[in-house]
Parts: sequence; structure tokens; C-alpha cells
Amino acid sequence: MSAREWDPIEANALVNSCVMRGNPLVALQSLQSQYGFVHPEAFEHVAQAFNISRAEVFGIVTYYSDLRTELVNGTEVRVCMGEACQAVGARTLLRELEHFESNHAEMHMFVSEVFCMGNCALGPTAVVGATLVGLANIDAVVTLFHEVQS
Amino acid sequence: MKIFVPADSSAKSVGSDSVARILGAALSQADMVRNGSRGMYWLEPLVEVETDQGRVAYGPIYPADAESLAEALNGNGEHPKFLGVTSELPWIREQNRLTFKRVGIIDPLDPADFQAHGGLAGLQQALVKTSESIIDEVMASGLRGRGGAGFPAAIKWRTVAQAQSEIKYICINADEGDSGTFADRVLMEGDPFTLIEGMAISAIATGATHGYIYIRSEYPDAISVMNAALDIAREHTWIGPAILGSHHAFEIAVRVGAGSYVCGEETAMLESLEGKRGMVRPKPPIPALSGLFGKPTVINNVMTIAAVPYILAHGGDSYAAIGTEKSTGTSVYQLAGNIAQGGIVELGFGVSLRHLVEHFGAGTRSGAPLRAVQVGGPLGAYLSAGQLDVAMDYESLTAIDAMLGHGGIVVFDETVNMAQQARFAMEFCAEESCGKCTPCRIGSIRGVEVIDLMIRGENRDDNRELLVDLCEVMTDGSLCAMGGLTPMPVLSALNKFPEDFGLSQERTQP
Repeated sequence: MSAREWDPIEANALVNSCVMRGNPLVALQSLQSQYGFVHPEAFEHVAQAFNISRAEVFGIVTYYSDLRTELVNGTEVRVCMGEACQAVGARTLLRELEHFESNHAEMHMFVSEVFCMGNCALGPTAVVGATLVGLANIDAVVTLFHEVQS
Repeated sequence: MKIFVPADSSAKSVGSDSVARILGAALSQADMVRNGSRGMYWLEPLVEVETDQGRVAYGPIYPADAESLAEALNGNGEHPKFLGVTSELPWIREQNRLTFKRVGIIDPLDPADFQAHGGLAGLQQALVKTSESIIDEVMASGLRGRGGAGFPAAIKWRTVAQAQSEIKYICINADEGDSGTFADRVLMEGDPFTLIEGMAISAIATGATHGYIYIRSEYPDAISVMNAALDIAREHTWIGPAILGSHHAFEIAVRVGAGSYVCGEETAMLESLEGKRGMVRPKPPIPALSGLFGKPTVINNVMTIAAVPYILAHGGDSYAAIGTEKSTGTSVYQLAGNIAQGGIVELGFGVSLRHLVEHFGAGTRSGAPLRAVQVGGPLGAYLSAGQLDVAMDYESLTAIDAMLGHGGIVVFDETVNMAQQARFAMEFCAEESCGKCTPCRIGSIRGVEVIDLMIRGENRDDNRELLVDLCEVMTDGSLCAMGGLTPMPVLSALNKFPEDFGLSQERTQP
């Protein structure tokens, strides 16, 4: 997760650098990983750079769940909801984390669901920031969350 | 002293990085290799040490155990978590590892280690053969697509080889989105050169000059290992303008997914590789004739292409001698979910599900009785405890309305509610549908609603009829496997576990 602030000129340059060796999706992914989101003001430039319509750019951004148009305010905690993790209590873990999230709004935990991290033999699985947690439980996830926060 | 601490992402999820740090500091004279995983995940982090008897294992070594292990290794090596010589552990010894031969053993990014363990032998064989004789070898092996469809790889390759085009592509589907499957990830993290070698062989056979590996974004470690491996392979001319000094040119690039499950469907993957929304394309035209950017394209799963180097090195016949008559070779089964001993089991096709779950898996992790097993990912059937004797090959599973898929096996104990699992299957389809065809886009939403009515107890028998009818429409009317196979988990749950839907007796599927 990058904390870089959105910079329209730099963003346009990044898009341009993807034109020769990439495609619109690669350009949008680059913006996402650089800034943590894709500012809608970049759509026009991506459209021009790849000679597609702005509607198509909008279509790509809204299709892929990795691409976001707003920065997540806080630390993301993703809980795997694949069947393999469900079989070992992922639904309970998600419920507990959502409970924690709403009771501690000041901590800016952002809980979301993800479908399969490929950690299916060691579930339940959570991802705190960028760290994968196997055999996860609420205590381990919250402890790591505090570490990532500080 | 040489010690091995896996850098596999699943091993890292239970602390192998901390273990490596602690051991590295305490045993500064030791040579540490960050290997892939042996696939025994209940023992991860699995630390190995090279000794006179061979590599011996300790596990699971959580960060809290690392100090005491370091002390033991500085002394006589005795530790309560000592397991013995790794290669003689029954779980490893009883497997037939061909594709996974080097995974967990070698340093994933050491080209010398790769070659010392038989790497590159297949590619060298391919370079002295003609295109046709490579394809004949793959044909003789009987190799079928490991992504789920089971289509013979050689026929696909031949179609591309015979197509007339200046540019041809090889696209490797590493968008391993099925829950309960992780073999592609473990191979890419543990032995990435095997995938590159297989792709290079396929390129020589088909005349392709450009390859893409489409890896899902949920696998950041696999992406970085694969990219590093490609740089090394380029330096050693295993790929590039002249493969090992020959006249074959082949370049490979990694492309990263963006969180869409349906991009694991081959035509949606092509759209995504072209930078568009991952919308499924109608077939025909088949991708082998008109695939990426409209050019002839080989699309193979990671497991399919990773089996190729062995076939070239040892001959198609020796591969075909393993497995069953129609499902030849080995399959990489993945034991997951509520299982005591989860991990990677590579064996010839035809082993029984019971042997995998009870012998290798040692039953449920919770210790409670097993109730259901989902085979083949989120679109695969739920099998009941009474069906465990099925043989794990393409034909036997199809015969009981199930499928092998990518070889994922997810175990559930008695606490599972199968109506909820059926509902989840429909909900997942609604969430991940690309939206191109109506049965999938709308049908899945109606499916969730009908199952909700049944769960609430409204007109259960009528709604069952409705659900069965809806499933028939989705199966027959959907453009791809997403909508077409979602009914499989739903109907199998409904037919085998009707009591969870509040239905009294089992009724046979029309």
C-alpha cells in the first residue's frame, strides 16, 4: 500500500510509460499500485493514450475489483471467504472482525472479503495490509493490525 | 551447515520469515537456502538441515520454537520436533512426484541447482527434435489439460502448429482462483524454471514467439519469483532471441490479474491480457486458431505445461504408463479445508478420494466426522461421506456428476450447512459473473433468492422444482463454465443433503 499522494502530472507520465509495452489495464494497475487508487480525473488521459473511449476506461475500472477510485482510509484487513477457509471458520472470523471494525472506528480498520489467497491448507486466512496470516484468529489478526498501524 | 527454511507464501503465513531471521542470527556460520514448500503444510514452517544421512526435517517450527531449534542445531541436533529424514517420511515417499520433483528441494532461483536436479533435460531433447516429433511425444504421453476441461494438450498444440500466422502466442493460465487449489502457486514459488522450460518446449513445437503468464494478483510472491526467474532464464538464454543458441526465439512476460475470478476462463483471460474487461468470448473461433489479438494461441494451465519437461526428458510412453487408461500420468491433488494434514499430493490418476482424505489427509482437522468433500473448486460437486471410494480421474468423477477440476479437495466436517454452501455457490457466481450471458448473470441472483426462500421454509417443494429448473437453464444456456457449472455444487448439495434445505426425503435429479 503506497502512501504517495495523487499527482496528476506524474500520473499522466506513468500512463504514457505503459503505452508501448502495456495496455489500458496495465496502466490502470500501475496507477493503483502507485497511489492506492485511480483518480477518476485520470480516465480521460488513459482513454486518449490508448485510443479508447472514456466509457471503456470506466468499464475496465469498475469491472476489476483490484481497481479502486477512492483511497482506503486506514489499514485493509481482507478475510478469505473461499470454501476451504469457510470449512475452518472463516465466516466466524469475518463476523468478529466486522464487529471489531465497527466498535473501533477510530482505529481505521477496513475489513473486506477476498476469495482465495491460495493458502487453503492453512486456513482461516486473512491479509493484514500486505501480510498473509495463516491459521488466523481474531487475536492474531488484531495484534498484527496494531503492528502494521504503528 | 546448510539449512532450508521455506519462503513459500503459505509457510510465511505461519511465520517462516521470522524463523529464518532468528535461525540466521543464531547460526551465522550456516548457509541458509530459502526453498519452496515440500507441500506438507501442517508441518510448516518445516526447517530442514543437511546431514550425513540426507536432509532431516523439523516441524512445525513456529517463531517461538526457533531459538530452541537453533540451540539444538548448535549441539547434537536433538529437538522434540525432529521428524527424521525428509525424503523417507511416508507422506513424501508414497507420492510419485514428477511435476513437483524439485519443489521444496532446490533453491527456486538457482539455475545450477535446477540443472543439477534434472532441469533443462526436456528442453535439450526438444531442441534436437522436429516440431512434429515433440507433439507426437506429448500425444503419446496422453497429457490432458489440468485446468479442468481435460482436453488433450497435443491436439491443441498441433492445431496451433499447423495454423499459418507470423505471430503465435502461448498463454499460461496461472489465474488459479479456485478455492482449495494452490498447486500452481506452490510450483511457481518453488520451481519457476520448470514452467519456463515447459513453455519454451511448447514454443519450439508450435512456432510461438511470445508467451504470457497470467498470474492472479492474490499471488504477489509467485509474481515476484516468476519475474526474477524470467530474468535469470534470459541471462542463460533459456528464453530470448536464440533459445540455447538455436534459431528459436521466444520471449515471456508476466501479466497480473486484477481480482476477477472469471478471468481464469480462457477467453476471459485473453480479453484481460488485451487490457479489456474480462468478458467471455463465444467459441468458435477456438483460441488455437484465433486467440490473443486474433492470433493462434496455445492456452495451457500451469500444471499442464509443467508436466511437459518430464515428458520430453523421459518419453511420452513412460508418462502414459502412469495413471489410468484415459487419464494418464500424475495429477497434483491439493488437500485443503478442514483437514488434519493438508498439502500437495502428486500421484497417478485413479487413486481413491478416500485414500487421499483419510490416509494422506488423516481426516478432519477438527476431529469431528467428515460430512462433505468438495472436489474441483467452487464449481465442483459436493460429495457425501458415502462417496469417498470414487477414483480420482476425469472419467470416474464425471460418472457420478462431479469433476476433477484443478484437483482441489476441500473437506468439511459435520458442522457444515449445505444449504448455506449452495447459497454461497450462487452468490459467488452472481458476484463474479462477467455479465455477458443471461443465465449466469441473472440466473445466479434468482438462485440465491430461491435458496433463501427454501432456507426460510417457504414452499420448499415448489421451490426445489424451481431451483432444479433454473439449474438446468444455467447448465445448458450459459456461455462458459462459470454459469454452466455453478449448478454442480448447488444440485449436489440439494440432492445429497436435502435435510439441510428442510426437505424430508431425497429425490433423484431429473
